[in-house]
Amino acid sequence: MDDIVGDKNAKFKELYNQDGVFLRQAGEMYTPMFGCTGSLYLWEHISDAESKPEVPSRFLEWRPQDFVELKTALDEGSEEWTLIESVKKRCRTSSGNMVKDFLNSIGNLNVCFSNIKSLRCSKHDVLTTFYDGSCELLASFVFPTSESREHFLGTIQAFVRLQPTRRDKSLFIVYDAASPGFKDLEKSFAALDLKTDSSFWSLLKNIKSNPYEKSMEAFAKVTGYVYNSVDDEEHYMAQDDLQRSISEIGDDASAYAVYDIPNCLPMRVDYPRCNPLTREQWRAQLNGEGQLEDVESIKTLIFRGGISPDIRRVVWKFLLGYYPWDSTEKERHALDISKMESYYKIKMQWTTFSKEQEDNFSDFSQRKSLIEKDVNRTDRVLDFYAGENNYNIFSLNNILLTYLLYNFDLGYVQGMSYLLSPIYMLLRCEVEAFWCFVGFMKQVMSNFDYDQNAMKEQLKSMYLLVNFIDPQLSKYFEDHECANMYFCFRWLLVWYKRELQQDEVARLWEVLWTGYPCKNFHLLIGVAILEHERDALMGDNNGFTEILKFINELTGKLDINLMINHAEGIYHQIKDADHLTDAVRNILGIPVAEASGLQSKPEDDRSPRKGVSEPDEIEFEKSIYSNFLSSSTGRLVFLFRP
Amino acid sequence: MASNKKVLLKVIILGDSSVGKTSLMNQYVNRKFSNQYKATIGADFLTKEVTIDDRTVTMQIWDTAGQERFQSLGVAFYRGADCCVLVFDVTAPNTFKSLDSWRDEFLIQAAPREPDNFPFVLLGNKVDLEPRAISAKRAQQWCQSKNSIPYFETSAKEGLNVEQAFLAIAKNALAQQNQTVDLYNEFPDQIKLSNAQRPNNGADACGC
Repeated sequence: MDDIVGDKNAKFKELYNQDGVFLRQAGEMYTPMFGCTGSLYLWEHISDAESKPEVPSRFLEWRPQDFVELKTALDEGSEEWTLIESVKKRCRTSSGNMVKDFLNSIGNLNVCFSNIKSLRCSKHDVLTTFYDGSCELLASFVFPTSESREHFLGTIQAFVRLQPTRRDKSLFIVYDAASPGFKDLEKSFAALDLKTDSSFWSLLKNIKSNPYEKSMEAFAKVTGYVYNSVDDEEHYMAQDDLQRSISEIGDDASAYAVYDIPNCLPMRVDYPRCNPLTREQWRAQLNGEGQLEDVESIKTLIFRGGISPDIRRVVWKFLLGYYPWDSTEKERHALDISKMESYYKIKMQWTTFSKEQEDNFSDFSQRKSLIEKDVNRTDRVLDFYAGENNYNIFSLNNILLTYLLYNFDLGYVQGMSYLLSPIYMLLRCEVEAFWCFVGFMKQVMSNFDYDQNAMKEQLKSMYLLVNFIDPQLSKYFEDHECANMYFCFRWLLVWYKRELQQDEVARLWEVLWTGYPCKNFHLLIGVAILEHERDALMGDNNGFTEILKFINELTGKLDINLMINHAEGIYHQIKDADHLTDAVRNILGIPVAEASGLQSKPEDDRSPRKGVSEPDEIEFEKSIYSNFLSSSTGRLVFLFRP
Repeated sequence: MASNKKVLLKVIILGDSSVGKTSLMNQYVNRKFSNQYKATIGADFLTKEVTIDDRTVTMQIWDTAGQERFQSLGVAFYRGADCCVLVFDVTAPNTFKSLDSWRDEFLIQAAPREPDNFPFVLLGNKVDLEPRAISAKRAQQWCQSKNSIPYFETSAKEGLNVEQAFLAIAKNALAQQNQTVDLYNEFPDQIKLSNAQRPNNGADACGC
């Protein structure tokens, strides 16, 4: 203590004291003490008039109790394991006397707290490592229990804030009161949820009994590293690959399963569906100008229960952007006229084509013929569209041809007629149906892109969501060559239109059009269906063919209100999950602040890391990773100290 | 070889939108025709048991979306196909023109072991309709240019030639599968062949 304090008269208050703390690693001069157990103290200087300015306000002190050689496998649980390797060899050769002599000459290990710029503590174990901000390790301790470490972290949070880094959730930047933006960091460490289970000690015990397999354990370390560095999206695949490669090594290797944090979802909460928005509720929201007073509460009511059929015709025009939500009665009247005019202007463009013109415009005539073929087989079983020379079919044809001219780059793609059919059937007016269809298409246009990338992306997202909610089911898909989720293609392309009756489609779509409770809620509807049918999907060793058949045959059998209800429950489970990943958060557009648990800040977030005197986080992380990663090849390399 | 084993033949039907893929499949499997089939989105299939040369085989007939842009998802459906049925509408010349691209795209995506010998069958559908735009001769010429693909003129609506066409499809698919199996079982087949060729002189000819 004297060395660091430099003033024998200074008075110190003990903030923290814990026995049985292993010293894993520290500066070179402390090498003989590595692997020793001792007591960890946190001291705070009580300043008075005589205090010298050079006395540090706080520092960590570690006093060795006795010399305990750590077994070879102690390296479990940290990215620094490779460095430890060489240290341990030295440790084994040192004798008890040497340590004693050393202690007499050097004294205790002291770390000035203001030198600590970052610390690493993962959820997996109780190892805690302190860095000085230039990727130099100050000290690395193994706490005896997760509670004792939590207590320690709780103590230091009285005067510093810990901010997880973006790429490595177990690495925390330490901001003290001198750091700019210190006050902005409200996040308490309790919210970071660094609970650990006792797996570290049981793991350690396992390793001791199987020293022969030590090299195998190294693979598990690589695993841990891979997990922390790959994208969340790839995480699951990487995990599977690793699991597979390990299982191929032999039966004995089962003891070396890939360790991961057991991720538990919060309990599913039931969000009962409500009654549909009524005409009275709608009217009550209109002021003297015919303007909606509280749009958000109207949308909430629609999300919670849909819309009564008698008011649907009006409300859909708002939901689909035909009328702006804040429009007045007068403005809407003007819009009716201008929209009618512009519709007929566009329509006139193709109605005035001569036969010759059409023949010379094959891009148009081919699409025209495709539209004609498709409308003639769209919902013909419904009375509204049934029979020969049905005027409504004629109208569908007109609207789609006008849309073709309105958006010729996209053109007409199969599936669009199914998106139009319920809209026209409700509005029964070409002009209104056209503009509402335009509004709907704005939301789903990418489904029809030539490259189909948006569809593939959604299928991928669907897999990630299933994986998050029901890993067993996603594993089944993976094992049965179904991970591409192509059997959900029809669901997503036309928003379940082909699986539902017309009134059910109307209910689902109006709920989805509110945009509540999150982005891509239509994917969660699919997840709810898959989860609901999980036993049937996984029964009889079903493969892709059987699953596709099963899904296709769900048509007409879905209880869509129940599925909306489940999907909402799933949404809240995901949002509140401690292990929510960035990939899943991005799919649903969940903002960071809304979610709980351990997480990083989004790119655009203002944070004190931009302060001049702060360690540049990215550079800092890079410098740490460079110890393990060969940046040119991206391959893992292990550096041993000479 | 393995004649008692249950055989599954996977057949893929491809062709432009509205040429009658779904109708042909339903006419063959269910002997039904409807004017009200919906446009196929994604893919679906039907199965039918057929007897070919005293062997009962199950045909799994895959119906796919006819718009070109949905082909990029085809790879999931084409995998393991034993035969590919190309369909065009004899009254719509554009559907005939697209045949080359359907065939090429299938070969790319399904990546069969021997693309040159992979069995295709061509169906000119809607022969009940007038006016005809593609003559039988023109269709047959195309077939000749593609390693003699069998050609059938069908009407899914009338049920004309559908049964015959699918029987040919099944035979081609079965032949393809046997050939593939032979390739996989090259070694045991060679032994069988040499035993058969050896004249039986009453003595055990095998010295090992």
